[in-house]
Amino acid sequence: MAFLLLMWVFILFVVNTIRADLFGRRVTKEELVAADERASSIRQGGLRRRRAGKPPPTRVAITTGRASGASATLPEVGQEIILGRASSCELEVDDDYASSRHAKIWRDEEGFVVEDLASTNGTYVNGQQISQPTRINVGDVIRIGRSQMQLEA
Amino acid sequence: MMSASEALPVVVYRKQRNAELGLCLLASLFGIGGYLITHLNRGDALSITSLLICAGWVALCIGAHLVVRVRCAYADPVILPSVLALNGLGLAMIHRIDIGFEPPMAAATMQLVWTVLGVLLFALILIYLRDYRVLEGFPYVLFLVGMVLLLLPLVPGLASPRNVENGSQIWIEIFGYSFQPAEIAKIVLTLAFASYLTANRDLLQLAGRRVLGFHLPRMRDLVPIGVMWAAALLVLVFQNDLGTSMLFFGLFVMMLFVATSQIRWVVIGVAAFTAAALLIGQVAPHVATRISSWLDPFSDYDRNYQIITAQFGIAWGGLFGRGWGLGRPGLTPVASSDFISAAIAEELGLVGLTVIIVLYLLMVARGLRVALTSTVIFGKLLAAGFSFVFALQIFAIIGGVTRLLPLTGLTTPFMSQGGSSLVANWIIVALLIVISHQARRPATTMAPVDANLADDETAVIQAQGGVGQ
Repeated sequence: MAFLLLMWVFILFVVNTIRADLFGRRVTKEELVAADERASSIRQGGLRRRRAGKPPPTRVAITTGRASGASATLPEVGQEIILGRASSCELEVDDDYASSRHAKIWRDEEGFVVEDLASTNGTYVNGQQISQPTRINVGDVIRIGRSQMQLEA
Repeated sequence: MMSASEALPVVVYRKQRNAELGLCLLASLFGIGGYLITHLNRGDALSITSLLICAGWVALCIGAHLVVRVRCAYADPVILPSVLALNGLGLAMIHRIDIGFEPPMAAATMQLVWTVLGVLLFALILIYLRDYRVLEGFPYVLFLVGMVLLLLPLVPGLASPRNVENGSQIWIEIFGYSFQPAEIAKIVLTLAFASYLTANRDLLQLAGRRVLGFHLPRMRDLVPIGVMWAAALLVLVFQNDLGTSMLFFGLFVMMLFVATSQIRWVVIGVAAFTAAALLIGQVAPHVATRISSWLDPFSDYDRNYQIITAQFGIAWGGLFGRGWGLGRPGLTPVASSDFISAAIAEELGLVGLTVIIVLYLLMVARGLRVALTSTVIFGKLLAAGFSFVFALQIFAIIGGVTRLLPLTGLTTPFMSQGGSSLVANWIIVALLIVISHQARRPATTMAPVDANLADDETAVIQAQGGVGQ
C-alpha cells in the first residue's frame, strides 16, 4: 500500500514539474533593468565596452540574415577584404539587397575601417548609413540589406 | 518604440535540472521498492548483494541524469524520470516472476544487462549527437533499411523457432540470440518518414483536385502511402501480427497528418487499412482465430490459456492488488514479456496499473510538447512520430492484455522482457531528449540587433528579438 502511495506521489511531483514548466521562469525587475542597460550600452557605440587586454577581433561574421553564420578572417594591417554578393568576395553576403561588391573592410594601425563601395542600397553601421570610411570595433553592427554582421574575437 | 522586454514576450524555459534529479531519485525507488518488498513479503532475509543491487540501480539513475545535466541542460525534466521509473518497475516485476519459479529463472539479470546497455547507448547519443539534423537527408536509404528490417522475420533461415509458439512471426534468431527487428525498424522508419515529409510536405498539402467537396491528392502522391499500406498488409498476413502492422501504418498516416495538417490523409489511410484488414480477416483463418480469442476466449480454454489466466490474475488483483510477491503472476505463460501489465495489475491492482498508464500518458504528452516547442520541422515530425509510436504501442499491448483489442505481439515499452525493445526505446528517448534540449534552449547566441530595420528605406523584415530604439 505504501508502494502505491509512493507511485502516486511520484505522479504528483511529475505533474507539478510540468506545471512549473508551463509558466516559464519569472524574470525579476533587476534582470530586466540589467538587460536594458546592456542593450543601451551596446547602442551607444561600444565606447564603454573596450577594455585593455581584450584580444583584438579576428573574424567578421554574419549574425542575422540568409547567410547567417558565414564568416571571413579579418585582414592584416594594410590589407583589405571585400564584402558582397559575388563569390569572389572574401565574405560572400547572400542577400537580395546586397551589391556584388558591396563594401570593404581594411585594417590600419588603430583598428578596422569599413567603407561602402558605392553600393545600391548602402551600408549601415549601428543603424546609420555611412558615407565615408567608418571605424568599427567589436560590438558594432554592420548591416548590408537584411544581413547584419559583427566583428568577433 | 518600446524596449525589447516589453515588446516581445520572451519565453524562457526553466532548466529544472534539480527537479529532474529529485524525480530521478524518487523514480529509482520504484525499482528498489518493488525488489525489496518482494523479498520481504516472501520472507527472505535481505542479503548484502540485494543492497548492492539497489545501490547500483540508484547509481545508474544518477548517472543517466548527470549525462543529461552536462550535455542537454535544457532538455525536458520529466521524460527521463518517467522512463527510469517504468524501467525499474519492469525489472522488479521480471525478477519477481523469476523467483516465482522453482528453480528461479534469471531473466531479470539479462534484462538488467540490456538496461545498462540501453543507458550506455542513451549516454553515447547525448554525448556524440550534438545536432540531430544530421539524421535528415537520407529518407530513401533509411526507408529501404527499415523495410528490410520489418520484413526480415519472413526470411526462412532467420526466423526464430519461437515464432510458432508465439503465434506471430516477428522474431529472428542469429547464433542463438533472438531479436525483434521491428523495434529497430521503428526508429529507422520514423527517421525516414520525418525526412521525407520535411522535404515533400508542401507538395502533399497543396497538389490535387477537388472532387465533390473532397480534396483528392494526385495519384503519384499516393505512392508512398500505398507502399506503406502494402507493407503493413504483408506484415499482417505473413507475420500474423495486427499490432506491428497497425503500428507502422498508423505511424506513417499520423506523420502525414502532422506534416500536412489535413484530415484527408487519415481518412484515406484508415479506410484503406480497415477495409483490407476486414477482408483478410474473412479469408485468412489465423486472423479469424485471433479475433475469436479476443471476443470469446473462454470458449477454447486450451488455446487461449494465456489470455484467460491473465484475466483471472487481473481480477484477483482487484483495486489495490495482492502486493509485491504475494500474487501468482507466474501462472500465465511468458508473463514477463507480453503480459507484464497483467502481472502488475495482479500485484499492484487497478491503482498501480493506472499509475503505469498515467506515466506513459505524461511521457507521450511531453514528447508531443517537444514537437510543439521545436522550431525545426524535422524535429517536430521526429518528436511527434516517436511519441505516437509509444502511444500506439502502449494502447495496442495494454489494450490487448485487458481484452480491449485483439492481442498483439508488441512489447510494453521499457517494462516487458526483451533486449531489442529496451535498447530501441532508450535510443528513442535519447533522440527525444536531444530534440527537446535544442528546442528549449534560449537563443542567447543571437547578436544584439542594433538597427531598427523597419525605419529604413529598403523593405526588410523585422528581425526576431530585435531591440527597438
